[in-house]
Amino acid sequence: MNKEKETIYEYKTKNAIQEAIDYGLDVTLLYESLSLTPTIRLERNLQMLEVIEELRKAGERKHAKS
Amino acid sequence: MLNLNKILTALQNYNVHFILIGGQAAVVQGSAYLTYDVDICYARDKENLENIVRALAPFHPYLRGVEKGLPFIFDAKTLEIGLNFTFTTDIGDIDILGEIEGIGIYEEVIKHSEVMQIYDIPCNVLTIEGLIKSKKSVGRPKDEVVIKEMEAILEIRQQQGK
Repeated sequence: MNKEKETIYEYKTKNAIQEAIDYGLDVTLLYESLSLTPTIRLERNLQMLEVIEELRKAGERKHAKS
Repeated sequence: MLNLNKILTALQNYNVHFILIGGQAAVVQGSAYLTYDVDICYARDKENLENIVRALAPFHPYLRGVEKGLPFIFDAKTLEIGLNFTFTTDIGDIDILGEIEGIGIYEEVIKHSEVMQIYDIPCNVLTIEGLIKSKKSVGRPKDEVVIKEMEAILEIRQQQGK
């Protein structure tokens, strides 16, 4: 990494974690995600989408009955 | 339901020149946010347009949000006339973009990408810096949280020496 790029990199990331926490983000999720491989990250995203789809269908069934 | 493995495999099998961008790229880079569709930036040369058609045609792409039954031909000519398309397919929603805001066309976006192994497929993926640049340029309120997240990921990686 050259010096100019390094300076930009440090500027961008300075206090970014604290800023994210202050913004309301759960950064523990980021640490966990970064411990996984890219494919596993995608797989988890897709699994959660399936869960959400099931919840959505459950909501539709409930409202269809009532 | 989205089948990213099938999408990437199809694009790879037909030697499509593309870069994974948008929400799925953010997930690959460590984002904890859920994302429903696949966004790619594609090269606009004639051969690549034809390869995109060969790769995706079996999954019946149709313009998302457009009334069913309208005349739409998914071919290289259609892709050549347009630039950015939002498709619904049998294997999920796919947006193919000839240009992304803040960075430019494929030949520029590739400079902001890195090769990552996804389902054992080597894919060009937009870097975190590229994602931040693009999302800052778009300036949508919903992207603010993603930018915060991406910047935090950069700092975490820096701390971890990655």
